[in-house]
Amino acid sequence: MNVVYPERNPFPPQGTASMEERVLDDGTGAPTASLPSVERLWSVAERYLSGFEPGTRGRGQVVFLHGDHGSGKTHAIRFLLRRLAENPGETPYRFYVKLQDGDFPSGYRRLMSQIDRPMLRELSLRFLGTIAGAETGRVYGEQAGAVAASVLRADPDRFYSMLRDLQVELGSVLQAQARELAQIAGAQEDFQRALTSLLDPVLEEAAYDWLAGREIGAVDARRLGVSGPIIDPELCRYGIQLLVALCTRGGRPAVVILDQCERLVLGENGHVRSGNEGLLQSLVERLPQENGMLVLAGNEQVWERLPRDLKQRFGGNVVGSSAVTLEQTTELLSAYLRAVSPADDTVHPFLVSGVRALHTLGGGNARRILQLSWLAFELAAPDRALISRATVERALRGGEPSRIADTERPGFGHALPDVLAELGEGARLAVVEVAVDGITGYELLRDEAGTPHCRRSPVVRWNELAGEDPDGAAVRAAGLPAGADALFVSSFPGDPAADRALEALRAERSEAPWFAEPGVLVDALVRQAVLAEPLRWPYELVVLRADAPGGSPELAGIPLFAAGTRRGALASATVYCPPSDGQGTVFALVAWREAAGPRLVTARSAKLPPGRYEITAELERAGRVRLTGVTGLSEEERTWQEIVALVPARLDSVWEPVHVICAIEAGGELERVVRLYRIRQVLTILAEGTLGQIEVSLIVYGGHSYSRHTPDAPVDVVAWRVLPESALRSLGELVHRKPLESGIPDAAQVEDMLAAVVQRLRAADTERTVLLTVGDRPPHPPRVHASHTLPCPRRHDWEALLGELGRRPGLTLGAICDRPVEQADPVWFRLGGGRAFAHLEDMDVRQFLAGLGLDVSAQRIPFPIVSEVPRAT
Amino acid sequence: MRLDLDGYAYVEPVYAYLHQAVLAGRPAFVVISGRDYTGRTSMANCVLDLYRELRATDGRYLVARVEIGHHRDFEWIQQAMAQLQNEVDMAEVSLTDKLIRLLDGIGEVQESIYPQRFQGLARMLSTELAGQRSPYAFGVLFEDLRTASFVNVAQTVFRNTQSIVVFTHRAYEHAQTPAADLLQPELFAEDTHVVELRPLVESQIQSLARGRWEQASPLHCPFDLDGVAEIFRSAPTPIKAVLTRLAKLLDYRLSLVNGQVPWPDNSELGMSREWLVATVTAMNGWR
Repeated sequence: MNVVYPERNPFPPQGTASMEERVLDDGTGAPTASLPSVERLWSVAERYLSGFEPGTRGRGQVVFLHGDHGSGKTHAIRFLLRRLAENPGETPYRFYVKLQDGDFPSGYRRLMSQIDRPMLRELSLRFLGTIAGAETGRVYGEQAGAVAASVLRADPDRFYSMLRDLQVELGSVLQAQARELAQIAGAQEDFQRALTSLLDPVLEEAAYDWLAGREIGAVDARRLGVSGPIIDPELCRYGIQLLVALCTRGGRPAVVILDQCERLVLGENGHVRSGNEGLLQSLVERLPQENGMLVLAGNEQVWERLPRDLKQRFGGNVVGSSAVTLEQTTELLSAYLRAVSPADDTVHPFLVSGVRALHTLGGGNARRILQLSWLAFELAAPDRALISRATVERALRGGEPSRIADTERPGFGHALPDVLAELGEGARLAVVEVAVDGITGYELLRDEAGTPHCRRSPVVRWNELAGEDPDGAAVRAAGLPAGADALFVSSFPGDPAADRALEALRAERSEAPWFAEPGVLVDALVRQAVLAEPLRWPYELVVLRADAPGGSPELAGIPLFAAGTRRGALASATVYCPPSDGQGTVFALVAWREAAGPRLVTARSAKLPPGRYEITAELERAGRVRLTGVTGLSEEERTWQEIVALVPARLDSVWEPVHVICAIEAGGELERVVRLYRIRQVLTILAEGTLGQIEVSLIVYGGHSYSRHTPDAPVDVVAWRVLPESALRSLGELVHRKPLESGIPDAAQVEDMLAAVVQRLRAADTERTVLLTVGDRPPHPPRVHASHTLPCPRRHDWEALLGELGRRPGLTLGAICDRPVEQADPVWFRLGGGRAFAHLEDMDVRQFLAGLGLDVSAQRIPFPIVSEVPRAT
Repeated sequence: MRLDLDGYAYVEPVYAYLHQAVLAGRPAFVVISGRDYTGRTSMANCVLDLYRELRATDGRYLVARVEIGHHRDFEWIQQAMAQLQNEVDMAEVSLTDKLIRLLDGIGEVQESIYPQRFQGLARMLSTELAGQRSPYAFGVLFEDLRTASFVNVAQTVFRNTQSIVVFTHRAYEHAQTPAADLLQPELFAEDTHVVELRPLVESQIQSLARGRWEQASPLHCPFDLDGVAEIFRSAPTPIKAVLTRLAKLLDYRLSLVNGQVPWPDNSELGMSREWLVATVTAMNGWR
């Protein structure tokens, strides 16, 4: 084995893989180990490239790369870009943007500037050529189209000769292009005008500037026929979709990488900027449609804060750049060392103890490991010494014993949670890290609901602070907010710049606690402190309390989590969600701050079918609760006052769950249809009303056969405990069915129907039940009867069954009879519970339902409802 | 001699419209709308020619032709006025000093007020051209409308003249041309005539093939007309594409025959139905 001492330090001094927003095809790049994130990212890209086929749509890929600062995201992206450049087929177009803040148009401009005017012009021409090929195929047949497409791919300028030879109509091509653009970039005429103007030498420059998001003069804007510059974020999104579509329709894959998504999506205090999140969501949906590949990269915080439906769109394409293992540390070192000593595949001059120390002291953070490697190599190289644990430790101390390290003091990781706990509502805490590369500020804020939020500022590098007053510059870079508490930590004591900055900060805020801890992972500890903080105040789910129908509803809270609860805790609640308006039912959580009252923590809404919901709440961290048991939750955009204003002064309807059983005598053609029509009216009213959780059952019955040739059919339970809408559909099918066996004229299977109901109603069902019977004939007696009506073959005793039902708590009987009251069989009064009786042909359905306690109205209620608020435990 | 292609474009309605405009002493505005290769420019020239005949100025007729290249209307109106000035100069028409000064100031007109400024200029020009001892007529052809509003602007400018303004319109649905339903005559402030050109159907193409041949030769037509109908049966075809294809077929047929004997004695030069169908099928495959 050929072992040589590296001639120069193979590691980057800052340990970072910085990225220019410029994608070059020089094939060079930082060395890399086959870290899992690198490999997984590349495997997605490989899938994309192998599935790419010009002329198709919907074959793109999306991938999310997440990880803490320094975990190697940028490194993985660089590797991806290099491998893409080496792709043996068509070299994909690659666009990389490092997002700086919430200003999406600014990112768009930087992305668009990566494609120059001639290239964009060629893409525009190729796009027309692709369409012209398709048009040729449409007019002259598939073969001619394929030939034209192939010729135009090889030489896009042939498009002009096709026009001269009258082989294709320019207007038809532009018309087809307009249709395609409507799919790609919405109904935006501006994009087609600019795109076609790119091919006009007079307008080319202005068209390029406009598409690139730059300002253009009023005269140029008029000439192009565009309404104004691309400053609207939504237009920028269309622009990116268009760019990708141009690339892929032209026959080459396109990869768009948006790095530092947290800066785009997370605003002050870590709140999600819903508009920008929506933009990402749209890009995630649309770029794969346009056969492009979208890579989003961001820190753990943004990944956690993305809504679930967006996360789900990535499927398995979620790549985490987590802490590297010892084995991967070895690979990483080997990769960098090979870059300067290609013949050497060892980690020489690192000894095993040195590698272990790098892994341990670097905390598994790739950036920190590389930083330490650089420092250790610098120490060892003058003597061509081997690098042991002692060398690494010495490197960590900056080569000399630390001047200000104070190991007697409690560690930063222990102190921070206590300092955070002291932070009152509305107060701020500035944590400032000084490290080997620069100064980083973390602003911790506690909002009115007691939720801590953290915002990390970008690293200000030491070389950016050089000047006449570096100490003052360091203090300014720390960005200490006025009135905020401060806490300083040096993660690289011994580094001259870090030590000096720490001293300057301490001089500025002498009362602030400070720490000097080699290798301390400040960003991880800050995040950990925020995530792990127990609740300061109890959390409650906001509901409407309505103890009685017609009563005044009150806002109340179902206790979910007590003060002091830590993340991971679960709680559950059962609520009834009434019909809501178009915005849905609001699930709001409040923190109950004793005398100060409730403070809103989160409010999300979901459009749900009315009904009872078992909700499980999981405390993900203070301020963030995941609700399961309801689907389609999205952030509520209305103000609290607007939502509360929607609560009605009185509840018009009963709201508690109710089970309505409709039993219909379905023998005889004409009568059957009229009865079904009445039940349809009933169900329609129930379906549209604000009644509580309604479940409907449908039973049809006829008559007993009493014939040896025709077996006696049981009653037909068509639907049991279904939503009114579903019951309506079943009812529709019943109308077209053959009438049931009529049996004898003086009785029907009422008793069998009652038996079926008794059998199916479980003892545990405690909700209100309404049995509504619609028909004409009385039941069969259980045995031979003086009336000479034939007895029920199954010996069902209708009186006993009806009595059993009548004793059931919460059961109401109703009857609709074909005959008017004076002609109806007396049994029908009993089927109607002695009071709820109606004549089929002459009844007011709403009034009848009200008599059964089934009031309905069109009232819409924004919150879940409970009848009794459980006590806090 | 004009071919009577039944249904391609009726000249009589536009002739009647122009006649009315000339009699009333008001401007004529004509929009020629059609797909590519349907002969929009040829029809525009035909309309301008009809107007010339109706004005009976004995050939004293000045026409400015402007191809609209982008959406800034001002530049194209300005260009039309400058071209009219050139035409006036070329014809050595004598104008008043005031009008000459105004014409020389075309380049100075502010964009914010150009319709009004050019309106006055056009009116004076119209008056002075008509007031010559040998009166002149004038017209403007704007090719390739980008927006329907351009017609309104041009009507504002030429509303007080005795002239003709013709616009050609690409009848497609995309962002570089106005939708056809925005060019209905009732949508414009001034009386406007719209001529719609359509691709030719088989019977029109048969008529075109025979007619064009007969215009050029007393011999009978070498195209089998059933064959002509067959090869154009799949979809209506714009006139320019039809003529190009017929010309290509004729050239190709000639190139295949070596003999010196001319048509019609040399029957090999005839294009039978079978030959036409086979040849066109092969030609489509070569594209």
